[in-house]
Order: sequence, then C-alpha cells, then structure tokens
Amino acid sequence: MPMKARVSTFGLLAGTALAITTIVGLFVVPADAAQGDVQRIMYVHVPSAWLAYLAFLVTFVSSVLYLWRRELRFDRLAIAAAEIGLVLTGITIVTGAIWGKATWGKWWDWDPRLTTTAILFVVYAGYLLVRQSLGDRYRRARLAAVYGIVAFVNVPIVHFSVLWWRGLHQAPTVIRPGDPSIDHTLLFELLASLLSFTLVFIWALRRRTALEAGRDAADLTLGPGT
Amino acid sequence: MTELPFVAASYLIVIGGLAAYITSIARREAVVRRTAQAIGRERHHDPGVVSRDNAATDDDEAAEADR
Repeated sequence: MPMKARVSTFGLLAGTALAITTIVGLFVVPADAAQGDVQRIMYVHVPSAWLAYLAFLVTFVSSVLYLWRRELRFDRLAIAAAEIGLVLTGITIVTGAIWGKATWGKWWDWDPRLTTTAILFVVYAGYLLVRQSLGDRYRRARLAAVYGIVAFVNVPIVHFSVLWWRGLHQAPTVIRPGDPSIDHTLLFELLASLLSFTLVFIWALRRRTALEAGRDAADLTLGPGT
Repeated sequence: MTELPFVAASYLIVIGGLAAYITSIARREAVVRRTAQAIGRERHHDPGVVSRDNAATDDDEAAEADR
C-alpha cells in the first residue's frame, strides 16, 4: 500500500516554508503605502487563487489523459487535484470577502470576478458530488473525466473577468503586459508565499492521490491492471 | 490599527483551513488502512484456503467425478 501515516520530509519542508512566509508576510515586509496592513491579505489570497487554478488545470489534464489511456491513476490524480482546488477556492472566497469588507466596506458584491469565482466553486463542488453519486468505479472515472474537462472552461473566464467586464475587483497587478504594478519587496514576498503554497499543494496532492490508490487497492470489485 | 482583525482572521482561516483539510486526509487514510488490514485478516481466515492435510487429492476428485 503506497500510503504512509507519518509526515514525510517533504511535508515538513512545505510546512516550514509556509510558516516562514506567513511570518515574513505578517511582520517583516512593510505595509502597503495605499492600503496599509490590510494588503498583507494578498500574500495568502492570491497564492490560494493561483494554486486553485493550477489544481483545476491538473484535473483537466488528468481527465484528458484518463479518457485517452483509461488508466485509473489519472482519475486518482484528477479527483485529488479537484478536491484541493475546491478547498483553495473556498479559502480564496473567504479571504477575499474579508479583504473586501476592509477595503470596499462590504463582504460581498456581485462583481464579475467574485461571481465567476463563486460559480467555479459550485461547479467543482458538483464534480465531487457527481463522483459520489456513481457506484461503478470505471463509469465514475469516465463521467468525471468528461465533467473535469468541461468544468475547466470556467478557469479562464474567472481569470479574465476583471479585463472583460467592469467591476470592483482590481485588474491584474503581476501577470499583465509590462512590469508588475507592485513594489519589488512586496512582489518578492508574494512570490515566496506562492512557492510555499505550491510546496503544500504538491505534498497534499501526493498524499491525496495515495489515499485514492489505497481505496482502489482495498476495493475488491476492481480487476487487474488498475 | 483597525485592519489587524481582518488580517488576523484571513491568516487564521488559511492556516486553519489547510490544517483541517490535511487532518481530513489523515482520517480517511486511517479508515483505508483499517479496511485493508481487515481484508488481509479475512483472506488469512478464508475457509477456501485449506492446509495440505485437508486438501482434496487428485484421487478424491476423480472419485467424485466418477460418482
């Protein structure tokens, strides 16, 4: 069985990196000139959103690979990434609501970015529900793969919503034409935070995929070659 | 500093959310491990697996087929 109960070295590394970037983001980097300390929310809000995109991209690619190769290892990767992406999207929405309350004076607005992110959350919650409602392992994997491909259409819509429609949410500050419109010290902390979130994501993805492999191994209804 | 509760709440939600999720993975891993162990025990005590002393010989099977 590929699962391990103990915390791996990689897990410790990821946790330590996250702890360091959290401390630096809270206490070391200077406050933003315009927003003050509340801008520190960016160091957790933005990496959560970017990693959620990455997670759903992993689900998309794994789903394509499953339909092509019909190997359950791709399905395991797809469900693992989708679940982590959903958790990160939830974190993005909640931290965004807190940031919105501090800067806009309200928790929620039917702004294009917020609305499309909420739709993204519901769509991937649906992905997990669809999986749970299907009993046959191979049918579940096949339908989930189709769902995982179609659902990914939402991700570019969420990302470009701030450019396509007017709203409260600010336009991109890092991934945009020309130089990033952010101070270099703050940008460095943002990228360091992104790196630590990526390590946690990889660790969680490996562990969650191993959990799914353990479930499949315990499932006697599966045939060989899975 | 009026923004401090907002910043603190955000960081607590991120750390708490990730911790809760990783705990949920660990809990599910424990369930799978117990299930795998139970399956292993069942296989060990499977009545279909018999010792050589009790196993039917080729002669027994031939006699059964003749009957």
